[in-house]
Amino acid sequence: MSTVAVGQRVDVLAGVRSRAWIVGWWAAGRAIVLATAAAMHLLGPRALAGDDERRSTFGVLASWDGRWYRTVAQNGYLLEPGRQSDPAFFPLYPALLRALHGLGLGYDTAGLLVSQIGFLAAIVALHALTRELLGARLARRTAIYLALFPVGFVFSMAYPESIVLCAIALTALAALRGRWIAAAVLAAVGTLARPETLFVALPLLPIAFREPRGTRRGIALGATAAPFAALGAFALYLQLTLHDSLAWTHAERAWGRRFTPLGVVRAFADLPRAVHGNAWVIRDLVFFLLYLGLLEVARRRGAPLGWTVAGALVVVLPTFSGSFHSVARFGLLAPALYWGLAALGEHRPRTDRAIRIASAVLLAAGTVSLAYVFP
Amino acid sequence: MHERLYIRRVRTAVTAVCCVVAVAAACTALLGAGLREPSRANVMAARAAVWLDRYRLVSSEVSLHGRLVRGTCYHGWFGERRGSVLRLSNGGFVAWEVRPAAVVEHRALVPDPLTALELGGCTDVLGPRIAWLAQFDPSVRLRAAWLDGRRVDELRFKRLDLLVSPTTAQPLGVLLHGVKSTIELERLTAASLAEQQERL
Repeated sequence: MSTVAVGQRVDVLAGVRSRAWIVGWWAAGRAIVLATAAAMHLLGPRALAGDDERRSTFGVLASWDGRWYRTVAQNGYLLEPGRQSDPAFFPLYPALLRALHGLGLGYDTAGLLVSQIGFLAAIVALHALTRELLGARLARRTAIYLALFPVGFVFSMAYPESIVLCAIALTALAALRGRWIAAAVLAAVGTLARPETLFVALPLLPIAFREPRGTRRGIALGATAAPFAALGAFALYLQLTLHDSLAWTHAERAWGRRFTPLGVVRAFADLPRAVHGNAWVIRDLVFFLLYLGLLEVARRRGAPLGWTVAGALVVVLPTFSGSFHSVARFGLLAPALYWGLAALGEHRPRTDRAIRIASAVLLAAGTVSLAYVFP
Repeated sequence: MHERLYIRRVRTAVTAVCCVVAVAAACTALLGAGLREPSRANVMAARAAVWLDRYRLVSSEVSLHGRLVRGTCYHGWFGERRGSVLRLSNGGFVAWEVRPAAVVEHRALVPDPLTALELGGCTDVLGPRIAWLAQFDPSVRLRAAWLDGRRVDELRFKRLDLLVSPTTAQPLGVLLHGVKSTIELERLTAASLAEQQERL
């Protein structure tokens, strides 16, 4: 074995050992979610869970949108005008499920596996990104709070959120290190899984303009625009398969999401009626306000403006559809939120402990809520 | 100097555009390879559901114990309630309410009133079921069949068969629990609406 190979192996081992604590926190957080899901399978509540979800131990984690992603993986896209249909769901995650199913895994097993591993990768990537942008101390706290984040049960569901957060953090890391082709690929991958990845273009843009003019800046700007190219590719794919490039938008309308300039006003005006219809929307409203507060804390702590603006767009833009539903989940894809939370716990041991304990309790409670309401 | 700056700007722009095009092409190829296209059976089922969404009045014929029974199903508002009413020529009657989804009254000459509503082609009962099956039933099959001497397509779901036009996917009949009905979607005119509401 050459000296270089031995040196690289030592580097990798040292890298793994130095991140072992991240694996520990990831395992702790996932243990809370998976144990709660297993307990629900044995003891209930099961409430709105369908027959498919009731059959397996972690079935509740494959419920709600998980069923739709599974349908896309199984059957491909099918637009049903005026009805809730699957083009509302982005294609990368079902494509992954389909690929793993081809290797012999069940769709639900594949989904849960991708989500757990994707979330570990997301914590490692966000830790590395935070360390580069805001320092090692905040990075450590960010990773811990992310592992226990109250709405973080979604990262263990058969949803694409974990791989999207991972893709967002890795895109920014690649850009900061000047690896623009990797950044372009990762940004495109993230966008094919969730449209929120589009907003990563905001923090990428100033980094791209730091590159010297010419081919290098061209690639950097191309990488910054890659999420839009991926979105265009999805529209093209829908045109080719369903003969409707806007099938995603049309399907979203049937899900009650119709974006209008005054949607946010409508969201507040209709709040009493929304609460009467489904009181769980209060949870989303609380998180909406909490997220805005955390973004402000992150800004004060020195988070780059591009990231806080991107975070604000991730949180606020869905309300332009006239509803607060699922805002708690959508916000999960804004790294600046975790920086804000980490900043709150910085230099305050009591606050830090309180955040960890409250997060763990809410993480378990959030998992139980899946029996009653979509995240 | 200016020329060199111009060339560098052009090179930046061309590289950026090439990068965007490459990403878009790669993503399209990835989606083409990674996802399957919906089967013709699922597409036909979805189109059939769209037909059912467009109509509120259906006339039907069903052969029960060797006797031909005619039916009319109307979907709409009845005072402050919304639902469907199926009337059969043998005196059968089923009233179904949308919210909460339930049969509120029935005198149908079949064991299950919901079966009667589906055989009668009641659009707001059959439509959502077909739409759900189109989306979630990967086992749906399409085969050629005959209905009253006409060549039709038969969509075979797990517990229900829907006969549709091969060209337009318009629903033409239902096969449920071994009973076959023919259905005809009818435009609701002011006169037929008044007639339906008067009969309540």
